Amino acid sequence: MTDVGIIGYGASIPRRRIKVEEIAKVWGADPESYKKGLMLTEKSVPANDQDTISLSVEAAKRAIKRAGIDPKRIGSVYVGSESHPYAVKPSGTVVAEAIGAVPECHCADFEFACKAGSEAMFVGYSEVKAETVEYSLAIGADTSQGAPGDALEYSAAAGAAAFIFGLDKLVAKVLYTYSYMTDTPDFWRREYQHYPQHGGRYTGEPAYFKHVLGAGKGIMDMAGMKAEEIDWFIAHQPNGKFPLRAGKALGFPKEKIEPGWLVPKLGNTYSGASPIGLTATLDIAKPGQLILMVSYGSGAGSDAFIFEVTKRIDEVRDMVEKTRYQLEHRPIYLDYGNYAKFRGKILRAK
Amino acid sequence: MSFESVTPARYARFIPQRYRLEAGYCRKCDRYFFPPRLVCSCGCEDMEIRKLPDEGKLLTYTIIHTPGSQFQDERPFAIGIVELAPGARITTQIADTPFDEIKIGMKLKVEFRKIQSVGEGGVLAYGYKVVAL
Amino acid sequence: MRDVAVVGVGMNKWGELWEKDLRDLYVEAALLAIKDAGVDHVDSMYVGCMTSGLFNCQEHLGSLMADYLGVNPIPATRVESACASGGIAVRMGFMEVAGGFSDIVLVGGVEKMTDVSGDGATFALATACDQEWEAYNGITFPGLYAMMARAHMAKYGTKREHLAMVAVKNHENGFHNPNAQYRMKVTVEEVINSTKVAEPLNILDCSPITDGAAAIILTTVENAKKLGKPIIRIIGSGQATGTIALHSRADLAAIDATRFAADKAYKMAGKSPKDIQFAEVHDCFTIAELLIMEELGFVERGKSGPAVEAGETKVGGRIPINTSGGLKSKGHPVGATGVAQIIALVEQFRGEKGVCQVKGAKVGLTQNMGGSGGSSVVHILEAMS
Repeated sequence: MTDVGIIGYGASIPRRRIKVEEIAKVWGADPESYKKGLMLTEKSVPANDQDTISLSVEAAKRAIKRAGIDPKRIGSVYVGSESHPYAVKPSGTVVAEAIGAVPECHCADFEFACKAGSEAMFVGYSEVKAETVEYSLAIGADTSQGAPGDALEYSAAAGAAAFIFGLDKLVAKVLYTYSYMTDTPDFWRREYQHYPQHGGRYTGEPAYFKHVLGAGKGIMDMAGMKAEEIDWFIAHQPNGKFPLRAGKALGFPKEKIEPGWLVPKLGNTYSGASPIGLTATLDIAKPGQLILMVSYGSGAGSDAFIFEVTKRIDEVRDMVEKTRYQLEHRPIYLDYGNYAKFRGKILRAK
Repeated sequence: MSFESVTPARYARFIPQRYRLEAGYCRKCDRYFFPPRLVCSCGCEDMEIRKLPDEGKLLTYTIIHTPGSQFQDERPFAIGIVELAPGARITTQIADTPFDEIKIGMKLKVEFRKIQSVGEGGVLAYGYKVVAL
Repeated sequence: MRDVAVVGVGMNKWGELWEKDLRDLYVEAALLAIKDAGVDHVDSMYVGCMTSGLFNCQEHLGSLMADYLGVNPIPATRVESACASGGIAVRMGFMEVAGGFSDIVLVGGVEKMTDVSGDGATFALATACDQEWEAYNGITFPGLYAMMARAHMAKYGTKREHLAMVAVKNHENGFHNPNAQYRMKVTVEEVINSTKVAEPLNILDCSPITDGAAAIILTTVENAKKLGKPIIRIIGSGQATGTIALHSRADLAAIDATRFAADKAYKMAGKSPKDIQFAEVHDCFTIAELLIMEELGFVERGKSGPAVEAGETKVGGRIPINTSGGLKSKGHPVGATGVAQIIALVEQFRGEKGVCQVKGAKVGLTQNMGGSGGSSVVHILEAMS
């Protein structure tokens, strides 16, 4: 069996931020209770000129730089998001043009709440494994929103992560993939609705934990591996608490989770969440180490991957801005008014 | 009376330039044209297509307080002229950079951004902006 | 080539003229010019106008104006070169008489800018720059000139105050011009503290949105003598193009098109910059006047700021510029400006300027340009005794 894996990766995180205090102030809420309850202090905010497409392009360019390939050889471009700028017209076509993969390229957008990104990764990986394409670009990106005054407003953030899959010059081999899904109405958005709705506490045990733990246990059983043998764990991160709890339940201590745990400062980047966590983990992983990533998308399902990092990580990791650097370097803090303007919550009268 | 400044055909025609910075290059004059042209001022019509580097120097700039209607929500914003290669300069917005950090001569790198949206339902027009390194 | 004289001038009072439409403006000015000239017919006419299409949904101005002036079927030609439309229309009329094609030519310029919203006007004016590579990315007209100002300030140490001084001077002059749109004086502080437009330019650095028209009658010097008019000759005319986009120019603090146009005009007239006693230049923004002074050779490159500070361009100074008030105070109905500049010179030659009179005015220059300097036209006029 030929090895298939990630040959390049990259993330794109907007520089603008808003603090929990700013949001709480407007709605008369207690910021401390949100900070404790969600284990997050601030989140990223896309500027007026940033959206799922633009962030995907920037993440893709970084992945291409690390992969060191001619983008014309990319045979498929997949973008997973729940905030595609067009309802009809794939985000992927713009990305494929921007990187120069056109015209001989498969392209499609993916949608499965927050696991649209890992869906794209699974399909991209599979195409390369089946050798129907030489390289595949898979992106998880979102600029999703929470309704004003809703709990989700504190965490709904923006970001993108891109991965190029190939057969040679691997940075991280894919050892196992696994998926666990059911029909579970924990969080959704009906067509023509601007904001999503959710089931409150129903989004916890019967939704997030059932599927994340189901996928985590499932893939480790399939691989015949125990948590002690795996070096790093990344889970979907709608808030700071859930991935730590899930990790603990699967046998992973906090130290193994921290490198890929960006949500306290980044917020929940939805389809970008676990993929961005993966890029941050790759940024610090050593050759030979194993990484378990479990995504989660409401509706509901989880995709799991076990990666083995190769020697090549040492050659590529410093080629572009690391993920943590983007998160921490020169944030621009917004007040609620500007945040509301950028996010289209208030609109200038025509 | 309203005018569409960004129509599908007008927008798509220059995607190779707006997305990929594809410029024309005259071998005789060793200079670039952005966008590519049919003829160089030396008379040469046989120019090759080359991608511009995505980093350049800021030659001049201003902060716009009274933009056209498509850019109202972004004001005030910085916009300047950046030289990417000999003969190839772009007029482009300087994004994500506090105004007091902008200096003539500074190095900037190109980023892919959304430039305009045509109303509530029209085309989304993407292109290039620059950010501080 | 025949010698060409200006024998009649006419313009309306400029401003926001809600009651008057595009054709009325032009016809009014044309009738005044025809009466002033004392001619009983014209052989051909020109209409300088930047964009009646976008401001008024009206093209085909040659036909429209000839019709409403009652002079069908004479030939009528629309001339467009953004803000240089009027000046280039003057050149076309000059060439038609000089070349022997017509004996009496009416040249008028007009722009009716207030029928659209502020946004609509910004959009229309932006068509003078590069749509795909400047306007698409968010630049505005003031923005282009602001970038030129920054470049000039960085290269030569020109100060913000120097720009403001141009506005102060032009408003002082316009105060005395009964046809000017804004007859009010301003101070340097007021200019610098006025609403920000595109840094470093504030609203008082910028010429306004104006409705207005201006017209002149050109004929041969022989005819002028027969009409018993003082002979005011166009002795030099030069026109040139520059790049459409500011970013394509080698020197961002220079306007080559003006220099090339001026060189040709000086050559034709057999004059040099020091022979010019006064000038009307295209101060669409205060910085423009500073750059133009250098391109016309009135001052050394980079020294325009200090020259303005020293009062060299005031009435009574070494080289009075924009004694009419310039675009800044007089107004800038785009297509009319170039024609009105000729009128401003004629008023000086006729000794009508009162407080703003240039003593012994005999040789003057007009400079008109389009966009950020993509086109330019220069005329030199001499009053023969």
